[in-house]
Amino acid sequence: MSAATEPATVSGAGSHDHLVDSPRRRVWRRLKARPAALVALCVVVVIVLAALLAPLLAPYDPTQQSWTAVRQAPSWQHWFGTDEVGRDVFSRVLYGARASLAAGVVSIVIAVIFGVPLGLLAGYVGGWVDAALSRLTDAMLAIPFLILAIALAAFLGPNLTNAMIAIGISATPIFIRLTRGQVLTVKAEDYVEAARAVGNPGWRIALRHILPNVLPPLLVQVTLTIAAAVIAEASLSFLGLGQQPPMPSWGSMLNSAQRFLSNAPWMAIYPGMAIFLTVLSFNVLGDGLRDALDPRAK
Amino acid sequence: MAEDGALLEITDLQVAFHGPDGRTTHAVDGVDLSVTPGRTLGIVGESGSGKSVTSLAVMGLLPKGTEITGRIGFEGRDLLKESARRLRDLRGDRMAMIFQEPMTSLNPAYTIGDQISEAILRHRSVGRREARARAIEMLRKVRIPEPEARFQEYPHQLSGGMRQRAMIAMALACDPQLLIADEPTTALDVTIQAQILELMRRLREETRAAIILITHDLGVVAEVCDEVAVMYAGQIVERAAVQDLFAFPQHPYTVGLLGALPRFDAEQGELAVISGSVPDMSRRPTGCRFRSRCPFRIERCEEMPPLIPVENGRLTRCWRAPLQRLVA
Repeated sequence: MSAATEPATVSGAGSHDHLVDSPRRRVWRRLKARPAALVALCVVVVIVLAALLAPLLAPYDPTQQSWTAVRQAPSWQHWFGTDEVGRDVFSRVLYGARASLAAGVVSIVIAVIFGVPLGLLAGYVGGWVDAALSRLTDAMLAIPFLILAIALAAFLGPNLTNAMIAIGISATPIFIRLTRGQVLTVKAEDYVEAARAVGNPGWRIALRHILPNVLPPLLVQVTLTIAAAVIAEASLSFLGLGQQPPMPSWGSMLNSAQRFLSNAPWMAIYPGMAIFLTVLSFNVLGDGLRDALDPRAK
Repeated sequence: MAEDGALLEITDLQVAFHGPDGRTTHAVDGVDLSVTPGRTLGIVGESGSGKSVTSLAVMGLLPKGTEITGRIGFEGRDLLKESARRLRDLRGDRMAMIFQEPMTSLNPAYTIGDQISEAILRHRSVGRREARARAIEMLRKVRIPEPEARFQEYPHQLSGGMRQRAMIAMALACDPQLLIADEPTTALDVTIQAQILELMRRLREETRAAIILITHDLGVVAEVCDEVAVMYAGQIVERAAVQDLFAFPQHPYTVGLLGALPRFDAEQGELAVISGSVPDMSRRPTGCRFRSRCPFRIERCEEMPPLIPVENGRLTRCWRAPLQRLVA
């Protein structure tokens, strides 16, 4: 066996370039190769910036009423026109992005904070813990997402914070179920057995060896669920269960616009477009991420 | 069977799995084994013979709810009586394991270096820097070229042979006294197989560790083992020094296995096959478990044969041993 004594002949390792191709870098490289996902990412960034910089970008105070400029069509003065009490629609759409994105992000944070650990627990520990948690998620998932969010928001009382909590709770079972399923798959992997064989305790195996390997599908779900949460927030605000007047939200703007659809369509078009673009971008980004994270893809 | 200075001594090990449907499978049924430091014991048998279950029982890696009885003596303690915490402290430190599939036995989320360092940090009170140095030293020991560069590579960047070397480095990082290798070369192609076996042989010389090599490949056994235990249907059917086993197998099953082994050094027609299949272990068969497939069976085989000593310390579980009488 001369090969073992001559390291040069056994250098059969995969790559010889010493650029470290970490999993994260590989995903970014693959995502960059997808134009649709890249455009969606740009739109998401623009929307996030618009929400963050609303006070700087908005030409008017979004709650400032003006009886001399009621329901004016879009013009150089009011890019998106004005509403039934003379407020600038462009400024309101910008500020509305804050409510929508806050609802998207805060509710997902709630869903992830509760859903992922519970799913990890159910999948890793199994037994009655799994049975109990799985029945609970089944029961919650039996109720449509939006209906559950509306019911919870109505129960908690109408304001934006409660709407976010309601949406977050409604999205939690999705994350419990997804995490649990992924953990069950990863738990059976050889490297988990190998981690036990070097003497790691259970909690460390769950957190260090299983959790990182269930994150990719969770990341995709997060993006897709943000889109769903944006719609849910708009729906709740439309019904008066979310953002309260006079602060703007895309949903409540649509609500007040519906009475003027024929003579002031701009009141509905712009917030509607904002919802459409935001949801579409998150969905396309989610799809792109799913492809980029797919281990079978090249 | 007390041997002087045995590191691991398994006595009457029984492992039974209780299935959810109420069926009980007796995977291991009365196994006695021992290994001494610096020696390699091969456990040979086909799938389902209980060889992997035996090794997982030693490591304490069998799933909860598995019924294990007997005694697994390791460094003077009975591992079956130790707490889960104590076993965790032993695993990866005093005893370590190498798995069959190098392609899937490394965590894709971490670098090779992270994973070797983890084993060191788990068992030694050293800092990150020392662990890193030790990990690189281990990579060098298992003949991985450019260990500093490999340290920060991810498993998907290495070939199967390199990954198995990394697995070996991880297993040996804390100088274990006992190394269990479960089919370490099965997933590798033949030239890489030879390199890995050579590496294991060399590391055994250096570390004086006791090695249990689990395999279904008698060629691998001939190459690296000192002693062999042949398992069939949860029992050891033959134990012998490796040369003796190949020269004069004393159990009809071993004869069958050797006949099914392709060889280059002898004219051979068709490979012999052992007809029939392994008995269903959820219905514990009575008598000799090999008898339904055995060409030498007699009436007495209805009764379970014990492990009988035959010439120079060998053991076989066959009423008709020594088998030379039958062919002479």
